Amino acid sequence: MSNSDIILKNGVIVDCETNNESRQDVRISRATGLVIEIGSNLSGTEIIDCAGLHILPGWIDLRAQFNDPGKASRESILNGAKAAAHGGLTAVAARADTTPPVDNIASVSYVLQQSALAGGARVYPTGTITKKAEGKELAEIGRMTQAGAVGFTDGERTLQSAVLLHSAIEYASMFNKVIFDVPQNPELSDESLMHQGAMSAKLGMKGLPPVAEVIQIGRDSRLADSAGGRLHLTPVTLHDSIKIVRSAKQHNARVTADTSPLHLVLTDESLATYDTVFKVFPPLRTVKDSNALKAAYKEGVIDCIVSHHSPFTAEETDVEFLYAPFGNSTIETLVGVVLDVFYHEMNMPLIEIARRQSLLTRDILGVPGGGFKPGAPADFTIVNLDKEWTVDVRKFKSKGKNCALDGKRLRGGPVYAVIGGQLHSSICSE
Amino acid sequence: MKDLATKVKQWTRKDLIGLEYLSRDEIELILDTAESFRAGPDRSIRKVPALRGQVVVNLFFENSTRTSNSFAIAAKRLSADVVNFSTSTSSVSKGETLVDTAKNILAMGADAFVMRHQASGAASFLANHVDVPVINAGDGQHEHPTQGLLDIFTIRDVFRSRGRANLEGLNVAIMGDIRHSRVARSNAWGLIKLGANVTFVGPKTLIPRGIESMGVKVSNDLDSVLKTADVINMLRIQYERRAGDYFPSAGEFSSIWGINSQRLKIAKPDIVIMHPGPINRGIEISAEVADSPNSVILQQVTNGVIVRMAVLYLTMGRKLTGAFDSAALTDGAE
Repeated sequence: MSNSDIILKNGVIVDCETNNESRQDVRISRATGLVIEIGSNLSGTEIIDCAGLHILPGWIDLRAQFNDPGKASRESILNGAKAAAHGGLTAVAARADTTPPVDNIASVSYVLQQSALAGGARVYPTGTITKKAEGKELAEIGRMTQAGAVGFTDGERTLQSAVLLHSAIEYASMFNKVIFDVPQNPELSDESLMHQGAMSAKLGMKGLPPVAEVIQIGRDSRLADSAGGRLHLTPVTLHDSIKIVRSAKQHNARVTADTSPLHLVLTDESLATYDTVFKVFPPLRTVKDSNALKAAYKEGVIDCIVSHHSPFTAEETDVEFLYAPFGNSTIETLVGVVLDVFYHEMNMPLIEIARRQSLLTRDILGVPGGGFKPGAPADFTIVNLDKEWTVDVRKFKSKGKNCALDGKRLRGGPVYAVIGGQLHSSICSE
Repeated sequence: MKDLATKVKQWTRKDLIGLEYLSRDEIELILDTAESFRAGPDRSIRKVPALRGQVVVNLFFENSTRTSNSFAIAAKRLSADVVNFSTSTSSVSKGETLVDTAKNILAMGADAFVMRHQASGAASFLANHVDVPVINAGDGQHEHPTQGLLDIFTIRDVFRSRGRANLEGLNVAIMGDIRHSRVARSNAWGLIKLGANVTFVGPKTLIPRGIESMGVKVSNDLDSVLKTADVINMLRIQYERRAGDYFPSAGEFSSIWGINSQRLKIAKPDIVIMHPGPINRGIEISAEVADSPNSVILQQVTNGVIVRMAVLYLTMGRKLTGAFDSAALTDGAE
């Protein structure tokens, strides 16, 4: 691999730290992985033409399931890192609920090692909140943080015990680390297959009542308040939840929230054919909910969009709906959906979108990144705002082709990801 | 006979998944075809050689006696061979998937599947994976189209004999555990397409929110529904489906919701009493009512055979259309 400098030429740099957009060239050192200089008319041997492109601080995804260790056939860290780069992302926090779960320093180190070998997006380990993610005893949050864990999550369901969640938030606050929480009341959500509404009534499938999310956000955000620590709600999916999140943030600025690309653009109507590609948890909701989520992101009540990447093999998803797993392979669609919905449809300023998806997510994890100053890590997400493209799972680098957005036309998408000074082609570079 | 051959040509679907997907004309085609198979003067159902040499596989992943037997008798009346497959004795217990199971059976030479399965959507799932007809005998809580059809056939029969040309404006009440009932859903789809007014009545916790979007009315007041109902179709509480989360006990259901002669005093004297079976005597329906002249429960069962004959005939006969001639479709005995 070449070790010369790269010049990103004629792109528009969107610098969220100085709040400034300008057409500049960027010289990056492959050897050090750092920005060398920003200026005009820079020259060098390796020039990347960024005319018509916008150079954003590297987007960081807060939640992806690479199933590694355990079920690497679904993805693996090595492949997931490449898929993330193909999606324009420079870093991803990997879910800790693997097999076995990441609840000890050896497993944390394993994830970091694999990330270093992968040569794609940086993969940051999260650790479990409780030992083995069983919800019974606190895991070694302190030691895992020291080993490099960036946050803590028990996986797909909320931590049932209020005592333990309170304790975990308080304990993690000593290390300034966030607890990731999927806020759905466990008893109400048990065995549900989709959103509870007219569709579930017609289709004869057990629905998840909206109240399950609303009461859990209420409970968990109050616990975070009392515990004095950081809580990230992942994802929020209902219009009724938004006022609860807004009010929680007024009490406690350290509550943050996300939603997924699917919840912005799809509804439970998609499930009419029982196609398992639409089976996700929490489930697809209604138009009223997706409209409210879009407005909430614009307002800032929803802080960021997170992929919730959860790939499965074809054998696993080609079964009856009842037996199919919950999840979608979305990591290569995150940038495109965010640009299409928020830059084009909702007319949000690009610099604000970029800030949410890079600086804000960086700060939630407490990792480096985000800058264009000389000496800053060269992590950038380079996008073509106007490119019209169609999501095609056959072009995914992810092993998971279970994507409900397959065939969807989007406007705006990632062309390159620069990670530690290395250039990666992304899904819109073709 | 020629009439039957004509009917087969009008049917264009590979499968029968649910009544939601059929047009009014398609539903009437099935019902009219069933008429053709009706009992002769000696009360035996006509035997027809139409499906001779064809193999119908009953693929039942859930318990059933009446439905699987009804389909088996229907298939045999059409001179088809029947194979019964039940999961307890099969390789499903060794982890074989539904699709693999079906493909293996197909490799042995099956011409159609009649499937009952615990997962909603399983019928269309299987239908998408195999080239032969799939007849849905009940998929989770989604639909049980042949039950809906035989219920509608029975209603049509009764009201025709009373001089009514069609079901327009007829008040049909469906009562009980609607939440878990594929029979309720299929009935509602079919009846609404034929112009009837359908009301789901039962305890709040047993009627899913949003079901009005199907075009039904919802009520929790059985007495007021009974006053105007022309037909009442009673469902049983499905305890095997975690009914306890929604309803306290059979005793409570019986005392608040049970239909007995006393209760029926406020109903129309000629109200038609229906039940898909099996009935829980003394719970949703009293013995007296079940055995009364208003009850058509046994006719439903008889009609079930001819309706299923019609369904098998239309779906499987489709590919045999060229082979039909009046000689193949003779009256009476084989």
